[in-house]
Amino acid sequence: MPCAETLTTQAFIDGEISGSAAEAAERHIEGCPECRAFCADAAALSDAIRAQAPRHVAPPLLRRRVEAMLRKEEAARPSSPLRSLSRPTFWGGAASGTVITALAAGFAALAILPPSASTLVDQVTTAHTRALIAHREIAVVSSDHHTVKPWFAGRVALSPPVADFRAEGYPLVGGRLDKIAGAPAAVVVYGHGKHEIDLFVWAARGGALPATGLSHGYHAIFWRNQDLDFAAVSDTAEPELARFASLVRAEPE
Amino acid sequence: MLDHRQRFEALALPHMDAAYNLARWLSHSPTDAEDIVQDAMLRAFRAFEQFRGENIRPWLLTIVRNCWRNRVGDVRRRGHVPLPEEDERPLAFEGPDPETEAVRASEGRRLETMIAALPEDFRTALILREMEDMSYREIAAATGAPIGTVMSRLARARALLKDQWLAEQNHAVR
Repeated sequence: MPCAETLTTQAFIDGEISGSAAEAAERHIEGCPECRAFCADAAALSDAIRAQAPRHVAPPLLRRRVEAMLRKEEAARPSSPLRSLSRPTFWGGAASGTVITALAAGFAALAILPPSASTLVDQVTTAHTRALIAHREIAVVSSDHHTVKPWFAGRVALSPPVADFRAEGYPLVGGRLDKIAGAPAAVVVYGHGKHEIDLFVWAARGGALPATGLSHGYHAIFWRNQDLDFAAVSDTAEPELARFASLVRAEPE
Repeated sequence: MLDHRQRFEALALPHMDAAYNLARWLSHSPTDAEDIVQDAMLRAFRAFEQFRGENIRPWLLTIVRNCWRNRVGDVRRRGHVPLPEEDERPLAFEGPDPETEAVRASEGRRLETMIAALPEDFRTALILREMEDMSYREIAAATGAPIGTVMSRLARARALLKDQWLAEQNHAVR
């Protein structure tokens, strides 16, 4: 028997609802096995479509044919000087064509280690550099937290805080999945100048966290908030990373 | 100052891939898809003065869909007996025998076949949502359906694909 809230759950994972309605949907999903299964199925399907089913790209010849056709069509029409003055508001639509070519997250599990403070630094920096080397396996590419946050529903059993700090110089880039100390982690990806910052979020398991760490030239800052552990990792300068960490920590849940 | 055509090109041409992708998934044919897009772009250009609004993509995709519909209608009216459209295939898949299973294309190809076999309304909603990342409102505008209908089509498309996928995997296991 499908849950009566299925369409609301679907709207949540499709990034259609925000604010208190999104929080209510999230609470419902947590308590509803049908909706949790729906999220997991929809997420698996969405990943499979993005990874396997082709999004066909217009052949270059078609583009040229269309452009030539439009020129010909224009030449055949009587010209009207007024036309070029009409409706400047059309520009508004030009920015809407965001095309998302998301790849399915292919993440390799790290060896399962006890999450001791010293290995955590290596783990998060290794996960960060591996993602950089693999051309950033950002599974969901979006600067809209209403797209990124629901993406994690159905893919990882925790709900990381997601916000766009563009105004502060740390724009939201997207999200992906990874593993930290053998446990699934949500990774929220931010930009900062030419640097990228990975915010790892995983379920706290009680072990001690290092406050900060440095490994292979990458800084990591750790903190715990209730039942979630956080690590911000980047090759940006440490004060810049600290500023980012304080922005995230100041963000209301 | 951009002239009429340049303004159209600046707005419409960035959506050429979206138009072509939809046309491909509707027609199942690269050559038909090219013709449909070319036809749609010409109609859109001719009707450009009637376009009101900020977001041209749903409007353009509506035209793509209409062009595809006209084409299917033309072929039927001309008395051709077309091979069964993929749209009209039954949704249930016949179980493949081991030999065809062996030569059957990869996972991706099978997912593609399943999506292609969805009823057109469901397929279009799914394509626009999952591949073009369009909002419910945009999909509603592109397909001329209320938002509630878009939501139920999407849910239905996802449920159908899930069931078929599971059925296939169970079949493969047995």
